[in-house]
Amino acid sequence: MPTTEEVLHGLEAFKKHVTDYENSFRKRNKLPKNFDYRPYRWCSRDIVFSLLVVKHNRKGNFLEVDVCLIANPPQYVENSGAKVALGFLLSESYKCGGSMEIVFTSNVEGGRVPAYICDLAIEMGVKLKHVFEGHITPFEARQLYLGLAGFSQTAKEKIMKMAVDKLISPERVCFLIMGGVWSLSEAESIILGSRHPERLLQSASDPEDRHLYLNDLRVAGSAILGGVLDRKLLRTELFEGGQIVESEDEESPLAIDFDSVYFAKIYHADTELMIPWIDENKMLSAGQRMVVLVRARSDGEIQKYFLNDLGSLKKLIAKYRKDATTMVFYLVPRDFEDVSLAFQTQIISQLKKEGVYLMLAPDSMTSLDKEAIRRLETGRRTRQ
Amino acid sequence: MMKTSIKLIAVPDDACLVERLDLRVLMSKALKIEERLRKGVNPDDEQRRYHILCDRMEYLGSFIGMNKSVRSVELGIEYFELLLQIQARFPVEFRSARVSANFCPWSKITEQISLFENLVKRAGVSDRKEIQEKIRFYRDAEKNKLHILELQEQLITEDAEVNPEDGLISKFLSIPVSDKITSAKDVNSFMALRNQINTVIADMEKGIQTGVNFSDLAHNVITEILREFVYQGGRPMYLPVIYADGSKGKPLPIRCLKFRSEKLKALSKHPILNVGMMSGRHHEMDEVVKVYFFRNQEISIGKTAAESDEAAYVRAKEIFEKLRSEGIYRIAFFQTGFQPAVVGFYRALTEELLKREKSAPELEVIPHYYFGEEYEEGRVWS
Repeated sequence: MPTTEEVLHGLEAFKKHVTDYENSFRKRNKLPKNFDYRPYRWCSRDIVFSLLVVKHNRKGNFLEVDVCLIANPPQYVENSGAKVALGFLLSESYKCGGSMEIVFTSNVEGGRVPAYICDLAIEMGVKLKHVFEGHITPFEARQLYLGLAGFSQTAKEKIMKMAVDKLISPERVCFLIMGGVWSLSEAESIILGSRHPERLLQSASDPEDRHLYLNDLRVAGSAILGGVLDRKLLRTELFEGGQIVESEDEESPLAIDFDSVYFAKIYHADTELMIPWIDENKMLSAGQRMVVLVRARSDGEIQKYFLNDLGSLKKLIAKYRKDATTMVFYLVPRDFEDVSLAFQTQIISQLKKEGVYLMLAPDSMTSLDKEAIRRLETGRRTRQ
Repeated sequence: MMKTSIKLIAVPDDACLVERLDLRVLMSKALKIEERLRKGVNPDDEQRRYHILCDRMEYLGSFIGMNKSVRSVELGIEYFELLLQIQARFPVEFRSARVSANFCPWSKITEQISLFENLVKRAGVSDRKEIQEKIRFYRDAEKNKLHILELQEQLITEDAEVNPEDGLISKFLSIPVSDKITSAKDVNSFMALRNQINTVIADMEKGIQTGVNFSDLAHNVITEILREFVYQGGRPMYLPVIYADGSKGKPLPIRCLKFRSEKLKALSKHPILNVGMMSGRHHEMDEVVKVYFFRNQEISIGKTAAESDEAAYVRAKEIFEKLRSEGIYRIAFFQTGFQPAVVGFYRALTEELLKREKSAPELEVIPHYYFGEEYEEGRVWS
């Protein structure tokens, strides 16, 4: 843990950087370059997790950290400040095109890797070799980044395999998550649920190569459809000033798994949740599990593949209904409404017979496609 | 797991019109877009339009397939894997032969299927069942004057979960990646770039994926240090290029030219032409130069630095090729700080000088570095 003097010194340095930044950029209405010092304050409401000042060192091609103050607020999970700070430093290092080496100046706890970050590295089983010289090497950064992104063991293994086969760098996969292009659970669906996840994650296909591009779009669309449900379930609402508002930083305690065999999502709630987009009012109680077969299909495809999907649903039931409280859902986009009424009725009755709920997402295939294109384009502009 | 299956349908002329949509019109529009994309005209807009047209053709194809009696063949999920294999081996030909296109009008079938046959032979997959089926189907459509649509279906196959490979973690940890620390001592910019390039060369020799980051470096530093490495002795090699936005440029040839002072002497009698690097960026330069090498609009349109680098490189190559037939040129190159254009220009120049190495000296570039109101002359490239 840093000493009081080190913290005070860090705060002083931070204050100076903020003043410099105001004078050089804010007041002149200019934007800083990667190689300019930039101060950041990472907070959630009125709780500060970390104060950081970084720049890309052009000469050494590394990320230089001049201030790194970390707090561990007791209301949050252990080492949350270090997680926030390290996640940002690694992503910034990647974004600036550097070697992924991170160097802490003498302003940071006398020029060492901050103690909280060392604790986190120990927790993740990563050995830092240059703590007192103030360096994190690219080799160490790679392991820290992969540990921090929060992938499931199976997804992590697949990422490692792709890296070993030279298909994609693990840093890029982590950056796509930390940089917000894909949510963690969307990325897991892509990584575990498709045959060539590296192509989609690298935005490797151009629209001119229609088959390759369309394949990526369809996988992306399915992942996004699952992600839309994740967000709906994770969302929490607060009562503020007489109004119900959506919380920006608090999410419902919900564990999300992915079944790659059926392209299905498994949700375990720790608290009672309202189940969205079904025809009746149903709650998922604490400790209960819901299994959702995700199918991003157009109206024509729903008609064509419903019997296959019903087969998958039956197998899902056999796999997960050993626990009788598990609820099973069939998630499709709004395009379902374009299916003929007779066929809709047929689908609903067959699902009912199996005890499966039809879940109609508010999104259509057109909006899923549009979002998939946007994400692929963002990925194309991201470091490979 | 999601997998892709491809189905071909052959559409006769009289089945092309469905309500207001005419397949022939859509195909003709899409072909025109492909042509514009090859020329690189407004690629983003064109790609968007192309996607819409392909989408409509697919919709039309599904409709025709369901409601009219047309010939069709399922190529299955392995065909998609073959496409990826062919693309990995012959990326340029893969695009030019339209292997991954979802339509082919009758008028193009002969040309397209011949290119396809040739490509699959070279890729060593011509005897695969799926390939044979496709060739047969195209030949049949050619004979019967039918247009072809290739429709995709996403299948979800219930594959068993794969167990992790033995020793995966140790294999992952032994992927070459630098585990050294860089000296944080302040050195001058020239020395810093020199050190960076030397580190990259050393890393490459160890198999570490790496690259020289040219972003945010002064243009005179890039030019002078690059020149040093281009004219350096040793095993010729390509230096990987990256930019701070994460994009990857084409590698730069280094240790590939020999500097001959006699060349300079031979050229010294000829007049020097003052050329600015890029129009519309520093108007104060207009009085000094006769012409600009690049039009700002052509170069800085790219979204990423690597795309700007590529645009500058391609344009510079075209210009140098043209200059070859025009005789001797001594160029005072008045350059400014747009790094991707600088890198693209000197990559093209190095390649041009390499091409001219054995012929009589006819091209010389003298960099003039623009620093606000002053110019500083750099070392000659010849």
